[in-house]
Amino acid sequence: MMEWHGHAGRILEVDLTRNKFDIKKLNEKDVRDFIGGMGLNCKLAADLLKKDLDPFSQENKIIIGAGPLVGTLTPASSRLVGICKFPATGAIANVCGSMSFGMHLKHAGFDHVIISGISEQPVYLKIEDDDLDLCSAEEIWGKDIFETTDHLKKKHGCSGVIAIGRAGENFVKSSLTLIDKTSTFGRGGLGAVMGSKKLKAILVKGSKGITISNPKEFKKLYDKLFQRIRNYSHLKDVHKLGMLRGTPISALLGASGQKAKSKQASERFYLKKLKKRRMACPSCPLGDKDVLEIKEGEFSGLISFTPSIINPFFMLLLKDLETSNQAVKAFDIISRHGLDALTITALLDFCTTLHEKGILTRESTGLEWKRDYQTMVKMIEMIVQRTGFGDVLADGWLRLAREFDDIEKDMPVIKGLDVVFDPRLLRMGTMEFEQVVNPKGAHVASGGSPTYLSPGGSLDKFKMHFYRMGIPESAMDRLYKPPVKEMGIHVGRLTRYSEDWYTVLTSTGVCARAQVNRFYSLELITEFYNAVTGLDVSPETLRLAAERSWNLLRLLNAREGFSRSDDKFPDVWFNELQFGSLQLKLQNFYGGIEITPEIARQMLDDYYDERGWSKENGLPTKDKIRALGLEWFLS
Amino acid sequence: MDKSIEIIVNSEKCSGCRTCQFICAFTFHETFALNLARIEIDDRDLYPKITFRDDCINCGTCAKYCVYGALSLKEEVA
Repeated sequence: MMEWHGHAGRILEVDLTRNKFDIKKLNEKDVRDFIGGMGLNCKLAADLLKKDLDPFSQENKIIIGAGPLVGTLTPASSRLVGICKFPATGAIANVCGSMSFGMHLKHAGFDHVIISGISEQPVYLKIEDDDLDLCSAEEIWGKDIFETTDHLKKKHGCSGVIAIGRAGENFVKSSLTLIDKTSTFGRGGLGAVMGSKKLKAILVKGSKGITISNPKEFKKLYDKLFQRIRNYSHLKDVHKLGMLRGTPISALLGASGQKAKSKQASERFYLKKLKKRRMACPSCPLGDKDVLEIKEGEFSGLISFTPSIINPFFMLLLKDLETSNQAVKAFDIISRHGLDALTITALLDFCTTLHEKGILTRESTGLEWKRDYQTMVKMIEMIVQRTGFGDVLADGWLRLAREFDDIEKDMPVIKGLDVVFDPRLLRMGTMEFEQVVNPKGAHVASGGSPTYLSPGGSLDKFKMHFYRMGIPESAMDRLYKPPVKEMGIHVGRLTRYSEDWYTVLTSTGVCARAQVNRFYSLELITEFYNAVTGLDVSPETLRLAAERSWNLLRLLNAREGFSRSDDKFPDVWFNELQFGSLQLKLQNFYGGIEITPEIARQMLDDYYDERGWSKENGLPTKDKIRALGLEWFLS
Repeated sequence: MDKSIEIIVNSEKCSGCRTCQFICAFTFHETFALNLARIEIDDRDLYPKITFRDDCINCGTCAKYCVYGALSLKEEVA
C-alpha cells in the first residue's frame, strides 16, 4: 500500500441525496500523471462529470481539491481548487481560492472532496477529521455569508468554511462562495450550484496534520527561500499595501479626469482611512488580504473583508460611484450575498448604456439607471430576490442577450463571463489575452507573466522569468517573434506557458499571485515537491503533468461543445474606449502597436500552434492527445 | 552569563498565517499538525488571539520566523 507524504491519500465522496459518505484511496497513477490539486481535479472531472449535464442537477458534482504542498509550511501554499459544470457559461471550469480551507482539508486527511446529489433539506457539510456529518442548515439558511461563517466557526471552533449567501440560495447564475469570509471561490456560479444542492456551507477542521518525506531537505529548502523573502527589499511594502502596490488604479482614475476619486484610491487614503489589518493565508509570508474599516464619513464603522483592496477600488471606475466608502460598502453587500463584484459592476455599466440608448427604460425595469451607488444597491437586491428585471440579470449575460435584439455584439463578455481586464485600458498582455482562450470564459488568473502591467521596459529581462516559468529553450526564439516585430514578445504564444506554469503552481498548491510566484521556479517547486512527497520527479514531469491537465480541461469543454468559435475577442475591443477625455484603442502591452482583427487572429492561430492544437477548431490534435497519454478520454 | 528569551506579542500585527504554529510543530515533531504546536492562534475575532501552551519551552523559534512583527524576540542577559 502506498505510503503518502504531502498527499493525504484519501478522497471523500459525499452523496447529499442519500446522505452517504464514502472514502476512496488516492490513485497513484493519477498523482503521477496529474500531480494533485487542479490537475487531479481535472482528471476526476473527466471520470465523473457526464456530457451535457444540467449544472443544477443531481449529476453535477462539485469537486474540491488541495495539492500536495497545501497544509505544509511551503511558503504561500494554501491554494484550494474546484471544478464542476458552471451555470453562467455551461463550461466545466477550474476555480481557485485560498485562506484556510485547503490546510484544514489536508489536515483532516483528505486531498479532495466530491459532492453530488441534492439534499432534501438545507444542510451544511461538516468534516472534522473522520467525523463526517450533514447538519441541518435551518438556522443559517437565508443568512449572509459573514453571519453564516461566524455562526459556524463559533459553533465548531477554528476551521475552514466555504459558504454561500442568498444569491446562491436563489440560483443566481453568477453567484460564488467565499472561503473564510474573504477569498472568492467559484466565479461563474459555484454559489448557485451549491444552492441548487441545498448546501449552505462546507466546514472542515483537521487535526491529523501532514507528514513530510524528507524533513531535513525540506527545512533546508524552506530556510533558504524564507531568507530570500525576508530580505526582499519590497517586503514591507507588500505587507503595508497588499495588492495596491503596483496596481495603478489611482493613476487610471487620474488619467480619466476623476481627480477626487483618484485621491481616494491612493495609498495614503487606503492606509489612513480604510486599512484595519493585513490578512494572510496559512504559510504565506506575502499576505495581501485586507480587513477594512471605514474610519470616517458615510458608512463609518463598517468592518469588512476583501481578498484584495483593488477589488472594491476597481469599482470606482464606474463614473458616478462617488467615493471609496461607497465602493467598500457596495463590495461588502456584494460579498455578503455571495455575488461576483466584477459581474455586478459590468452589468450596471452595460445596463446603464442600454438605458442611455433607450433600450432599457424605467417602466420596463423599475430602475432609473445610473452608474452610482444607489442604483447598484437596488440592482443587487433585484438580482438576489430575482424580482422583475432582476430575474433576467440573475440568469446572466447569455439570457440578457436573448431578451433584446442586437445587443450581444456590444457585450464585454467571453463565453458568458464578463471581462476582468479591458485591454484597451491596460494594454494586451497575457492576462488580457488569457480571457479569450480560457475554457471557463473571461478570466485572468492563469495568464500571469511579466507582461502583466508591464510599462514596456527592456524585454531581455523577461528571459529570466521565462526560464523560471519552465519555458523550454526551444520556445524562446518563437516568443520573440510576434506578429508585428515592434510588439516585442508574442503574447499569444507566451500565454500557453503562463497557463502551464499556473497549472504547476495550482496543482501543487502554491499561490500564483505575482508577488509570490516571483520567488519560485519550476526547479524550486520540484525540489519542494520531492522533499515533501518523496516521489522524486523531474521538473519536466511536473511541467508535462500541467500541460496534460490543461489539455484535459480543454477536451472536457470540447465535449460540451466549445471550440475556436468561442475563443472570441469581443467586438467592442476593436472600438475605441472613451475614458475621461482619452480615446483608447486596443494596443499591445509593448511597442504601442494597435491590435487589429487580423493581428488578433494571428495571435490566436499562434497560441494554438504553440499548444499543438488545430488552428481550425482550436482543439488538441490527435498527435497531441497521444503524446500526453489522453487517448482514454476519447474512448 | 545566561540569556533568557522574551517573546513579545503584538496581536494587532498578526496576519493569521500560522507560520509560528507550523514551524513549532515541525521543529519538535517534523510534521505539520497544528495541535502539536505549542503556540495557538484563534483567528475568529477581529484580531487573532495568540496564546502559548504550558509545554512551550520559550525557544523563540516562532518569533524568529514571524515576518509580520506579531512575534518578536527580546533577548536579555541575566
